[in-house]
Amino acid sequence: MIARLTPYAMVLPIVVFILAFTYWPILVSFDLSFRHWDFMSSEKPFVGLLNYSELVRSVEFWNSVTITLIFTAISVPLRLALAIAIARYLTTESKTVRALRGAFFLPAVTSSVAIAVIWSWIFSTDAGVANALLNNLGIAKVPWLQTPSLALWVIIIVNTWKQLGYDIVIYVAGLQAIPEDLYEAAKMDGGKRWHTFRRVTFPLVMPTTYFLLIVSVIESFQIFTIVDVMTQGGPAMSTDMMVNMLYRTGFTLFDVGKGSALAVLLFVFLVVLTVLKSRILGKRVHYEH
Amino acid sequence: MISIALENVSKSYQADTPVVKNVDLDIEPGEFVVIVGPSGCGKSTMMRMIAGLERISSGTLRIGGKVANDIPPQHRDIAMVFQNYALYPHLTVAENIGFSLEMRGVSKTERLRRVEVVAHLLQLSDYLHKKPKDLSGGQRQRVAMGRAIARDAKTYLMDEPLSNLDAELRSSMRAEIKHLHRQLKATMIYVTHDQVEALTLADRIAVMNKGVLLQFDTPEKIYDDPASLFVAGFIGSPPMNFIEANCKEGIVQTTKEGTRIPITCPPELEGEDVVVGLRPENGVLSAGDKRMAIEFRGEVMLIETTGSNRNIHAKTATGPLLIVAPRSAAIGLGDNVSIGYNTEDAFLFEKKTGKRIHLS
Amino acid sequence: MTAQEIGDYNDIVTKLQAAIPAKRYPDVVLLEITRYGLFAEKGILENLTPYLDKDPLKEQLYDFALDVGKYKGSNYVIPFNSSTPVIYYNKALLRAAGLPDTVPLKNFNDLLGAAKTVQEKLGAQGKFGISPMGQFARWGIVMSNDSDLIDPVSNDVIVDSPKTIAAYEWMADLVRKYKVASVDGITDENAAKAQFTAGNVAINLDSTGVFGGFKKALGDDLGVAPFPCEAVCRVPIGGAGIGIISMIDVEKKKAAYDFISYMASPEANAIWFAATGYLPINKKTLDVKVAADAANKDEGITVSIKQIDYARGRPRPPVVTWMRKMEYGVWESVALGQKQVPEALKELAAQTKAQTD
Repeated sequence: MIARLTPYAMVLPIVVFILAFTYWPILVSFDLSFRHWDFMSSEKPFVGLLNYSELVRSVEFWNSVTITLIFTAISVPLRLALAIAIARYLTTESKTVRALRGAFFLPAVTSSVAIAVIWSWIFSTDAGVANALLNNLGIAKVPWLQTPSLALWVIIIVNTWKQLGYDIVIYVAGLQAIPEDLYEAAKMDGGKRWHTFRRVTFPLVMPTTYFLLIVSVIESFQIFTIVDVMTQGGPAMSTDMMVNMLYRTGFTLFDVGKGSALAVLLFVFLVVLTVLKSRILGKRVHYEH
Repeated sequence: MISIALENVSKSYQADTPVVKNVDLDIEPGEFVVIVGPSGCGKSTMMRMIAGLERISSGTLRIGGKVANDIPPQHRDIAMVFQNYALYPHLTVAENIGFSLEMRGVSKTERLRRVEVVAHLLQLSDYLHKKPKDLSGGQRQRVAMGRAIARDAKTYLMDEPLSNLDAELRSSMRAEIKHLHRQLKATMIYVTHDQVEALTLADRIAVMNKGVLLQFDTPEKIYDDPASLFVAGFIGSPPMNFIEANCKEGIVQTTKEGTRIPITCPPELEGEDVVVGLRPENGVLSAGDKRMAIEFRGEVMLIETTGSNRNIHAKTATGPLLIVAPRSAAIGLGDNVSIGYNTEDAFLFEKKTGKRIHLS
Repeated sequence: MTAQEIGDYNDIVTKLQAAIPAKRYPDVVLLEITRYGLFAEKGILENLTPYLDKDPLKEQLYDFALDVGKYKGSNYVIPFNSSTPVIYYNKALLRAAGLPDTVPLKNFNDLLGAAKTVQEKLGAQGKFGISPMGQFARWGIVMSNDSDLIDPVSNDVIVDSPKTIAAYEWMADLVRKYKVASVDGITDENAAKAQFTAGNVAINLDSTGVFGGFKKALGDDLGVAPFPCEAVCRVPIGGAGIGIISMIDVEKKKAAYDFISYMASPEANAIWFAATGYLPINKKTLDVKVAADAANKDEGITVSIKQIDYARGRPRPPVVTWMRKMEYGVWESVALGQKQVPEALKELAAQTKAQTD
């Protein structure tokens, strides 16, 4: 009897931990999304779908959905393309290459806040390095973080810079799994660099690409810290991602119900994406070599 | 058909430790050359230099008379079959075979036509739409060959193409390759560590060891007239027997009881250590009769039946000796036997250098 | 006692609000002087009037100090750090622009004039005439124009009144029209401070509480002048006060009050005043040696004290907390020229009113 229960006892702590810190909060926000609450009142009146209907009828909501989609649609392909382009040169094992991989990976493990603060300085209009460099080229000051059409690009650049190292390391692993003789065969077969990449390398790292695609889309939908530090969603709501709106609604304007409704919508979307991920990855051919 | 020549070619990855040393090799147009040697002898490196996959450290490579050291692989008009086939796992058999044509911009209809011809030739027609992982080892091997020959290249390189197949398949593929060579009329260079493959396939064999080309000749010459101790030991199955001896007073002598090797030594080897080589298949078993010029006495330790023959392992005063005897020989374990050779069947080598000493 | 560093005034509100349902609230809390009404209204803060009535401290505190801690007639917080906005200027930059150290900065036009001169003369070197206003200074500018965001008497929302609009127009023009202020300070108030302390901006309107920091950075080049009087002489009182959470037990409340009372004592207040430049809240603070020395050493620190007579606590109904959060975005959009001032402030007024209903 004890022997049979031992395995369950051993996983119990983590199960309790996950239930308490993952599933319970999800259930609570689900419940709160049907209520009105400001954190302090003792009553939390049930309002049905009111929070949701207010949300989907608000300009603010659709603005943040649109911004988040634009951000995702630009930064994900950008990240993957840059990552694979760079990873191709970092597959060999030498001291220099390992150091370079480390250098690229460093931002991925650096605090987002620190990164965002430093990039805020770099892109500061009157005291920033970016404009100082442009000035040397005779280009007038660009108000990066004060211009709605530019601020999102700055966020995309900073986020790409931060995440790229992770993508590169995963791609390097994917590329290293491709046997060298396939490239040699392609060389003998007369494949030019681009052809070889398109017909051999790219299809063979497809599982890696799918994995990174899903992971980076999820990450993009969850972006918060960089935006919160650099622009707080501004100027003129031009960088107001869904999580920023969620935080503002729930934690600075104390509309807990609507914030929870937003969290639930985001959650549902990400769950769908995750399920899609396992479906796609499950179906992908895992090549034998 | 095109000639390939290596002139004083060397390859080293690190200074002072060359893996291929000063190789000269002249391959005639349309010739089937097998490079054979133990693993690490530099044979694959040499092939990869011909292919263009490795840079040549020094020396000259000529393809069709033209210096080709700096021509990139895709422009050498050479096709290659890799040891692990290097099939593109995400492409079908047809796409694999047609890959080089696709890369060279051949139209789709022409591509399909050529792929079908090749597939027919290699009996792959039924598998054109399968992926490599759905094929057997032998089929994959044929796809690899197909991908090489679809291109109609002037030269084919094969890097141990049969090493991943089982024995039965290997011998039938050997025949197919030989057949293909006749059909394609192309120059073929084939790398293997298996001397049987070398002997059966080659027009000429290049034997290599430790980066050095030891002998380049027809299979018969290599077998009958090995240039060195290493070549003699490497070619031939079962391998040649070696008996250590010494040149004294112009005659090969062993101090061992019951052994007679009446071979004359050239005067310059007087006092030197030598090795006498005797092929197992030339030995004659004579239970006690002293009729042969060279003779050993020994005890039968092991008998292996190979089907038509038997391999007799005997213990003699000079060490173990192996001979191939007909099945009819009435002999049993523990029998005392006398093993005889004719003097003309013996090879003599200088022990120090491994150099062959031709007996007059 | 354990202290917890929370962050800025906004963060404190957020953390406290979130801590209440979790019952993880602290015993005492430091709240910004316009943002505690929210918690007083909900009964989260203890009414301190009974404690004060028995405390000799009550007689020692300046009237303004007692006043800013009152919500609906009762005291809920006792100021710890109090401030008014003042004008800081960089004497070296003014001189370099050919202006005297004593250039008058008495009203909006004076400020604009000086800023323009500096910008003209030194703009090419990357210097700026003036910093864009932070939120505290913005409120001060509005009050100086004889208006407010919320009517202090009726609690009506008047952020879209003509005088408030005019004040915002003037502030926004510094950036969008006259270009005498850097855009960086609009999206990041700390950037404005940093540019001033780096010696790149001539004039900066900010709380007296940053005096210590500015002095350290600029030394004798730092000048301090009273806040401009445009239509009237009136400045907002800022800073923060300490309150007690009403849910804790009686013993703890007593101890907590003793702590608060000590923090407002002349001895404690003097140290704080001398180090930062925040206003003395205790009438006896300046009698303490460390405070007297600081005042004698640099009269800059006393500028804000002289403003006490016309300093005023700001209205603090619960909606102010919400409104102040929304105001950042409104200011950003008008200063960057993305929205017109009247339209943006009318929108803010409408939203604020909707929030109170």
